[in-house]
Formats: sequence, C-alpha cells, structure tokens
Amino acid sequence: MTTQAVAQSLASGLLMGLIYGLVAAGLALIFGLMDVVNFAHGEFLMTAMYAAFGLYVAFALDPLASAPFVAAAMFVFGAIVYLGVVRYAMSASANAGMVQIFATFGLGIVMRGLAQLLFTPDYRSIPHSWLGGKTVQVAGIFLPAPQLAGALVSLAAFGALWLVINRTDFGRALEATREDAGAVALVGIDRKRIFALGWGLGAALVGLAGAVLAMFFYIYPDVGASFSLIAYVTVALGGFGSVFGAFAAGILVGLVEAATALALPPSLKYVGIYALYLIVVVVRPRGLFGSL
Amino acid sequence: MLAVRDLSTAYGGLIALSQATIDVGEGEIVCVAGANGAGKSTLLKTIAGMERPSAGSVEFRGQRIDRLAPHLVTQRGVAYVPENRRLFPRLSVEDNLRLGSYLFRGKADREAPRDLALQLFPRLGERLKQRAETLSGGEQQMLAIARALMTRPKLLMLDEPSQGIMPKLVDEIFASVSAIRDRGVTVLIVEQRLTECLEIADRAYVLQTGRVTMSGSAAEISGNAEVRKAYLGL
Repeated sequence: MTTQAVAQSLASGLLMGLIYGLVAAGLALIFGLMDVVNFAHGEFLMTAMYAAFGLYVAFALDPLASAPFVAAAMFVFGAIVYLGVVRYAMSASANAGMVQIFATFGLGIVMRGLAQLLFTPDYRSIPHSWLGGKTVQVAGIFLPAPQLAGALVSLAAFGALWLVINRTDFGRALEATREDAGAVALVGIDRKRIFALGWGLGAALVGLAGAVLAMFFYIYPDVGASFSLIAYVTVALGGFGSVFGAFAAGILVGLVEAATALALPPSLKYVGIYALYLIVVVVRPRGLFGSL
Repeated sequence: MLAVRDLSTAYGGLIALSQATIDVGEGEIVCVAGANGAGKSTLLKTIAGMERPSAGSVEFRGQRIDRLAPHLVTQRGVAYVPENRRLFPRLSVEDNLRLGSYLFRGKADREAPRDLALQLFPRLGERLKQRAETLSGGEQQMLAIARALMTRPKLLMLDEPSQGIMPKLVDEIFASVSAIRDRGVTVLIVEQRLTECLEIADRAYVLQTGRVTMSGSAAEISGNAEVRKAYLGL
C-alpha cells in the first residue's frame, strides 16, 4: 500500500467525518439542552434528504442551493415536534425518561412508515447535481466534489453555531437553560420557548446534513438508520451533550472508518468505529470532551 | 403593592403554607421571620409562581399573579432570589449578569441596572470573567441579587440571603438591601437571622408552622417578649 493510497483514504475519511459531525450536532445540542435523546434523529435526516430530493424534482433546485431552505423547513419541523410531542412526553407524571424514549422512538417509526407509504421503499438519487461525479485534485489526492462541499458546509455550520452560542443573547440563554432549566424563569426567560428553539436549531443542523448527503447518497425510507447509529456513537464519543465535542468526534469517526477500510475487508468497515466506541466507554465514559 | 390573601400551598397533601395574609407597600422593606420549615420559602416560591397555591390569591400592583408561569411573574417586575441562588454555575459572572437583562433590548435598560449592581457590589466588577461557581458564598449571593436587579424589578424577594455566608459579608449584604430600597425597589425578605433583618426592615411578619402568627412594625416585633425569647435569644 502506497503512502498515496493512505493519504487518499484519510482525506476522504476527513471529509466524511466532518459530515458525520454535522449529522450528530443536532442530537448533541438537544441532548445537552434538555437531557432528551431524539431517537427519531435518523428519520429527521431522512426527511431532510427527501425534502432536498423533492425540491430537485419539482424545481430542479440543486441540493447545495436548496440546503438553506431545507434547514429552515427542518427548523420549523423540529420546533413543532417539541411543541406537539416532546413537551407532553416531558411532563409525564411517571417515568418521564421512558416516556421520552418511547415518544421519540415511536415518532421515528411513524416517520419511516409515512415515507414508505408516500415515497415507496425505492432507492432514489439525484442524478445530475452540480457537483455530482466531479473531483478536485489537491496535491495528488482526488477529493470528490460533493463530499468536499459537504465538509465545507459542515465547517461553516459549526462556525456559525459557535458564534450563535458565544456571541448572542439567544446563545447565552441556551447555555443557561442547559445549566439549569428551572432557573431561567428567574430572569424572565420561558424555558419552553428555548426548548422549542433548541429543537428547531438541532433539526436545522441535521437538515443541512441531509441536503448535503442527498448530493451523493441514496435516498430511501431507512436511510436514517445507519447514519443515526453513527451519530449516537459520535455523540457518546464527543461527550454527551457537547456540540463541539461532536464536531471533533465526527472527524475521528470518519478517520477511523477510513483507516479500517484500508486494513480490513469492506464488510467489516464499521468494526473500527464501534471498537473505538467501546474503548472510550470503558476508559473514559464521559466521552472525549464531556464534562459529566 | 403586593397583597397576599389567605394563601395556602401544599406539597402532595402536606400543608406548607396555610392562609397567609401579607401586605408589602411600595418602598418598604418587609421581613418575614420564622424557624426552619415555617413556610417562609414556600411563601416566596408561591408568589414567584414556582409553586401553585391550593387556595388564596396574590395581587401585584392590582393584578392577580397567582396563576402566572414563573417567567411571567419576573416579567411583571417581581424578582426572586431563591435560597440556593440558582446561578448559572459554569457561565461567567458577566454572562450571568447579561442574562438578567435578557428581556431588554435597549442599551439604557441594560446598562443602568448593571451600573447599579456593580456600584452596590464592586467586587463583582473584579470578577466579571470568572465562572460563577468559583465565587465564594457571599459573592455568589451578591451575584444572585445583582442578576435579579438586572431584570429591573419593582419588588425584590430574597430568601435567606445570609445563609452560608461569613458574618462580615452578611452585614455588607444587608447594607446593600437598604441601598437597593433607597433606589426605589421594594423588598420582601425572608430570614432566620432576625436581628439584622429587623434592623433594616420597616415591618415584619412571623410565620409558625405555615401560619402568620404575628405582624407589626419592625420595632414592635423586636420589642415583643415572645419573639425576643424564641428568635433573638434574649
């Protein structure tokens, strides 16, 4: 195996890792904010991919151009899911933790079922996107253009997220709610409003990831399953609830996946990720950047 | 300004506050005294909207507030500093203060209370970049009061501000409460340390097992033989 091949593989791993980070960001954000794991996270991603596909079919809009619209629509969708489902699950009088798990898990099943009903289980793809099939050559390494664009979108999204969290009143309110949701009323903040906006923001992030993935990945009702599994691993690795931990962990997952693919047969390509996950769970259960 | 009428609050059948009637006039400092478990904290929590009363009413400036969610009570101008302060521990002192003025968009609405808070508690100004959790108990209490002032309240409610604080700072905090009243903020304060509290208060109530058993001017209460024996150790 040449150094060239290793570099090539790790470079694609890095790009994919940045996209994994973006997929996981919303999950980490919502978990950190209110200790609720969104078990429908993969289905949020699937919905966003279909949305990008639909905009392509209806208006010939390239996923790269429709990404902001998909993210905006997912923002609204996420807030509605909080207001219509999660809010009630959280106020369950007994076993609220279980109720939350079943509520979001059930929502995921409903969304998948609806997708099968409306769009059939067929695999779809966007055949002629702007960047589809193109590559960019950097220092002898070929980078697929859609993945490169996805990675750049991810970097931009995390940059924007950092600014929102650290430089705005809303970001400060988000951090305060995450610290002590019961205390924000003392400064006049309605925590349910922050929760709804947090769900919106988390869904918008996965919406962005969905639009990006629609450029180069098949779209089908179960597409969220494999990505969400990786997202759960990413969130656990990064430290539960740490959005920027998810960013770093996503990159790590992408690199480990690429390295595994080099060393092991393709059918075993996930072995590395889950081995890494097990090691972190045993050695450092709070995750790489967690503060639990 | 604040009219509490026959207010009762129960925790799962256990009555913590029973038919309490309390008045706070504009510009007053009113002290509510009582032993542990007398219902003092429950009284403030219920006024703040953090607990639902089982009976009775709370009127603030002529309007009922006893069915409002807690953030709406804050928005009406009632700031509450709970016993455990409930700061945002991993946020900086600066961010804790800024959160206090979250509701205001105007620069003046944000800067005036901030200047006042830092003038009252200059040591907070030296610690703006520190995380709230790294402050001493007394400084945390100051920050909690400062954060409450940032909401530009008309009524400030303090739950045991002296708790867990070294004596020197206790005096400082009580002095600041007087100064806050002098700026036009009405104060309702709940305390076990009756001596200090009565020194700055205009009027006082005594709560016993959830009921108001005594009320009067601060002088009357501190002159009362029973109170002197039970609370002042005289």
